Amino acid sequence: MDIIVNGKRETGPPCSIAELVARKGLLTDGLVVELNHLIVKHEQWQAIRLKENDAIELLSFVGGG
Amino acid sequence: MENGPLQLGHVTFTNRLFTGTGKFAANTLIPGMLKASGSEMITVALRRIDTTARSENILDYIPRGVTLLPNTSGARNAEQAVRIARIAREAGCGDFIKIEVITDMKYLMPDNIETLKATEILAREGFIVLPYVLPDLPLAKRLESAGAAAVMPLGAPIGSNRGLETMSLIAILIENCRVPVIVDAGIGRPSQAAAAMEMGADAVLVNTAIATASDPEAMGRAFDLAVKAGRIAFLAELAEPSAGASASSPLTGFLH
Repeated sequence: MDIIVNGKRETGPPCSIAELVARKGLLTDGLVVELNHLIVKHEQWQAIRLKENDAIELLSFVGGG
Repeated sequence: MENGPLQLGHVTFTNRLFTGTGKFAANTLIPGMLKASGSEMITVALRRIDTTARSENILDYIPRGVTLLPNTSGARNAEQAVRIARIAREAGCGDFIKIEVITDMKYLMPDNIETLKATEILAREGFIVLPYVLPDLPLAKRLESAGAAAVMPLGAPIGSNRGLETMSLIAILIENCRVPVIVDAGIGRPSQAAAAMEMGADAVLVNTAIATASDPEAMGRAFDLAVKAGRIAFLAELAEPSAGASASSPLTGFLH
């Protein structure tokens, strides 16, 4: 299955948002997920399964002025 | 005049120094700086996560009670700024947003036109909008009409530490704006922050000068004192300069 993660196309097994996050070894604290331009709350990460060509953004707050 | 608090949207600030989280040698320096400076609002930025590195959550270093001011840095037009603002609010950062739309990568000059467009949209959506702009009076009046909670003119290019190069233009905004004027960007020294406050700015936003000091905590305190001094001096009404001398002591009754 092809999805676009932070602007880059990736191929991988079908998965939920939570599984993708775990597979990438990301800390969930402070992680912000946007799927096809819609914010997905942490509680929904388990339930939402990614579909072919979904565009997912994995974001976080960083230092900035 | 009384030194009252600053109201932005539904939030009241007693401290008029706003700070930023960029450029600190370590995030662990941020809580001490916030305590020493008394700053009640601090900026953060939103970025794609680096999936190859273990990143810290900057929000863990900002104590409760300090208001978050997410910025839209990275946005090159109004649409991108609006998207970042919506994400920041959805992510729990509150209603404040600093609109920063930049296409000029040498001087990081804000795009005033796109900033106005983003302000119109976000103010309608209930954001407390703080637009970072070049000091331009007609634009500032349009931002006011669009619902901006304040205007944030630059003193000098971001991170340049050059101080109030746009002083006379900022003075025009202070004279004519109904909304607070917060000097953002370019302030490199506490004396420059004091100068901004002396001329009637409602607050200043300082990041680089504090974050890159050898001792950010001490520099935060220095800026706090400077902002307070400048504010008190403004309210006390400064004496006018004159070309000639005016004796401070009586010119009669000399002892010779």
